[in-house]
Amino acid sequence: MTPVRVLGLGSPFGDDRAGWIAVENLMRSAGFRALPEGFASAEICDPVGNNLLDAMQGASLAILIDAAQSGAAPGTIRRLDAQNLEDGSEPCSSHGFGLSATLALGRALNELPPNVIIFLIEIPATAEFGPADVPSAPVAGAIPGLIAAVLADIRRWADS
Amino acid sequence: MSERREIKINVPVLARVEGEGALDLHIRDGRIENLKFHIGEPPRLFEKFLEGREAFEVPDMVARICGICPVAYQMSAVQALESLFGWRSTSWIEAMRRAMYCGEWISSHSLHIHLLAAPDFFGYSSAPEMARDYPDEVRRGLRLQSLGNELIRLFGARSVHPVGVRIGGFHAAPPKDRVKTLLDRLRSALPDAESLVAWTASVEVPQDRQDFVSVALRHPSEYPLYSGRIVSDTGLDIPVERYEDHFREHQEALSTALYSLLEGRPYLVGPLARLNLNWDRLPEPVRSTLAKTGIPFPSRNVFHSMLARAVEIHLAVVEAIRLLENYEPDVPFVSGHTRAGSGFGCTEAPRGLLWHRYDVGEDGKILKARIVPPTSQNQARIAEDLHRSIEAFGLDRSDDKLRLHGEKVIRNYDPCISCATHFLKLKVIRE
Repeated sequence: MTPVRVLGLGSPFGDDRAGWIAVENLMRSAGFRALPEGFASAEICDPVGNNLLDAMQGASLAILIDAAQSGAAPGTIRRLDAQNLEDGSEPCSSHGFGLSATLALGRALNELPPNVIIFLIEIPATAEFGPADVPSAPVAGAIPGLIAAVLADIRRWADS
Repeated sequence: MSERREIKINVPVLARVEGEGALDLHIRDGRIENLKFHIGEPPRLFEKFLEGREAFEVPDMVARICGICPVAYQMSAVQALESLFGWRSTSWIEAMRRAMYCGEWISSHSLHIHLLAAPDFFGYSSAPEMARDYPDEVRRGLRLQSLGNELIRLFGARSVHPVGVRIGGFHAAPPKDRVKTLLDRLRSALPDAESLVAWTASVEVPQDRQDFVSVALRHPSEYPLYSGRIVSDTGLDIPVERYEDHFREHQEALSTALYSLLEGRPYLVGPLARLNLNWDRLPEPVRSTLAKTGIPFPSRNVFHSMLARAVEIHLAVVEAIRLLENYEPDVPFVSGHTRAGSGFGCTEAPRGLLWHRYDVGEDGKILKARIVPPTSQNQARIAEDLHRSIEAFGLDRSDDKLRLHGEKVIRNYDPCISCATHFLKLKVIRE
């Protein structure tokens, strides 16, 4: 298990694939492939909940990438530190144990990696979640910048 | 004397319950005048999607009905279609199906006990909140859930909507080294499973004895999971293909899920019903672990469902070890020709009896599908239970307490509402 783990969140539908696409592109990128063997891994994590806690277990730095709809301009990238997030209050169910509930559970159990960074890609408010192969233009356009930001975080952590 | 009052409680969205369910309660002059448990989840129309599809597509399609119990949907489906086609699966295939199914029970039950039900009994509003005070218990639950997911992944490549199952068996036999690693994990999970049974038995639950009918599969020698006859504690004992002669579904206003009755009565399916009817089929050491709790089965207290889930986790760990300990890869599937006619399948999903019927044409395509999931079968029982347990709880309690108690009663059934909405009457008028 590598100390740095990048996890793409989402689903196979439309722009909700943004986190998955980012991880696929990251793994193909020269910057990621140049990292020392056994240092960083990237995977698509489906779904969140216990699988996500498992996927982060033992890591020193976890970077989560997900799609978001917050009303910002489509393609906007936001970087959040999971330690600064408040526990969400959305209802949980057997099928819906969301990202914020998962992080709250990890925090309560003291089982989150010391560094958890979340990158959110804003997807259009009109995004459709059909079986589209290609993301919408603003999401596709944001991916290279996102990958550069993820690699910069990994390097910064490695240097520190 | 308690004050006479009129109370209307409406719980528009139920937390920690999958899907859109709601509860309306109207109390007048100290009596329940009206109580409605609605399922408002939009219908899924899966049975219609299956029409015209090739039979071999069914296991992958029905897996999508539920992200928590996809294995159950696959197992009832393959059983129905194989019985119609006359394909005889091998003892290896049957054993591996049971092992995979154990993974789903472990995962689903652990999730429900720790993240959804337990907070109710300890007075927390959520699992993360409970985890701060009971970290070891919640961690144990998460460990068991991961183990269950890994067991599903062993056969299905992934734990949600697994893809390893096909009519006739599995696409591939898992490699020996992976089974060996998992077997070690299963063995080391035994203490977790045993302590979970003791812990759930120690949780203080309301003492509410009710009269209800339990329905489950029963197998000549095993605790039922993948096969058996359908039995009840009122004397029903029928083969799977006779289900429609005894169970009737009907639609009621305000619910998109069908109500199901056995000879006109509501009935219970799921862990408590299974244990009530099959406690004598528990193998050692599961039976002794349960006996140590001092709680006798059959139980008339529906709140013993959480304990029943813990017992079934223990059983599933023990069973998976038994089924995998001398594992050798084998031919993973049988095949043959398709045949026209009707096929029936019934297995025990984590939430109870899951019955399927497929009518297949000469061309091997599905003409008609009927899928009766556990939550829609429990729907009438949930409504009946709510009526009785809210009255037993005391109608003079505050609105908040009544609301919480109602939610607790519903959550105790672990209803999976999305799965339950399997039917819609559609009338099209064209002019």
